[in-house]
Amino acid sequence: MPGIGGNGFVGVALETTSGTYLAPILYVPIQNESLTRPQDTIWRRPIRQMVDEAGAVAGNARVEGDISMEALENAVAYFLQAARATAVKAGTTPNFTYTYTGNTLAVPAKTMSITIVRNGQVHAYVGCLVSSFSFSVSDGQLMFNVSILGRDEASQSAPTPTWGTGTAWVPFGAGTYNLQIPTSTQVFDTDNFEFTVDDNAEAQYRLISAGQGAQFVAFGERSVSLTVDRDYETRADYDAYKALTAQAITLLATKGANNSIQIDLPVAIKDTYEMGLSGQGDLIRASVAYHGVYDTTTGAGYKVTVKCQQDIT
Amino acid sequence: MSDEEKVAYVLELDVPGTPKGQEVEIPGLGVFKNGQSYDITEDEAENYRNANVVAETKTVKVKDGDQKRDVVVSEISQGPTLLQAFQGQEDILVSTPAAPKPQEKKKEGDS
Repeated sequence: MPGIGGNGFVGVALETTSGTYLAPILYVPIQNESLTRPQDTIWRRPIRQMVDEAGAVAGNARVEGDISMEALENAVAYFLQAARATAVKAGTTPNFTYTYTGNTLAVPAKTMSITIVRNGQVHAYVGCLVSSFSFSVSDGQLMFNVSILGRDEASQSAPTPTWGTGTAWVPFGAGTYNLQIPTSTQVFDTDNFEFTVDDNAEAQYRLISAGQGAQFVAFGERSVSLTVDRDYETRADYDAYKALTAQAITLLATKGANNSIQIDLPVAIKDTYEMGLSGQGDLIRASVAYHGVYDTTTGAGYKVTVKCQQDIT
Repeated sequence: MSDEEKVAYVLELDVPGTPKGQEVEIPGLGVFKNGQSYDITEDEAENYRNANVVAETKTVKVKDGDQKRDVVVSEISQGPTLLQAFQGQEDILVSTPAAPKPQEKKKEGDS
């Protein structure tokens, strides 16, 4: 019998051994997901007095897709453990601070098992990492999107979820932001914030004796980018774009002393700057895109600091 | 819970990564503090099953004139019991309350 999305759920666990399934430790409310297990099937086309496909040969398989969710700090902290970032944990129960700074590893320190139950059917994706992630503020709400790449999928016994409550499970909405351009100078002329880190992961296949899944997933070049829309009032910022002037940018979303997400781009340089006259009644706004480049102090193009109650071990 | 209500299960929460005392929700059952133990009454256990109903389809034969044909019908049934739902999970432990020990027979001559 068909089911609807609302009855489904997603649970995650950090794996002890990459690719070995672990039942969910944390259940995460999501907006939508698109995880699939593409397989590169080889469709046989031999020349032997036929013009049809002669059959199929097993090709390599992997897991890929996106999960979109509200930026809930407990969940964000958990997913970023499987990104290409060095995680530093501070604090004691019940309040923790996790600092994630991009690193140069080829494979992540930790991978995840992601369990997705669709219409009562269990899909267990293993060896998953966060290939790219983004934070965006849309209509006042902070959202978090992760692009997942993993090794393989199988069925597992159905878990029964529990759902966290309290401050850490309330989304960031209007009135919780402090955007600083440059860092330490709060601005009030900006909206449509979108920050993206893309580590360009690729599934790696090796000659193996059983299964089709990837042997591991490796990261590639990293791109850090930020786009914002600002009111266009003076040329100063535009001239800084022409001069390739670097500046630090910070977005702090906070619900209290122990519940916040802070995004830092220590060295942001404008890539594009557009402020056209788009219509008689349109406000003149600047659409600005930045690259977050390597920072000699932090050793990366970005840093994300999450204050939450999730004790991640 | 009144004295009249029978305890069906004992629920113990040990959700990893969640501080003791932090509340977690079990849909259909309620909100509970991590690290604590709760008595679940028969009514609450029944509500849980009703809140987590499952639908199943099956094929039945119906008369169609002189012939019989297959039609697919759906049936709604109660969801799993708490014991079934959390079987094998380490974060939520469900058990039945310990049965009271039978009283020893008094020996003749005991006062």
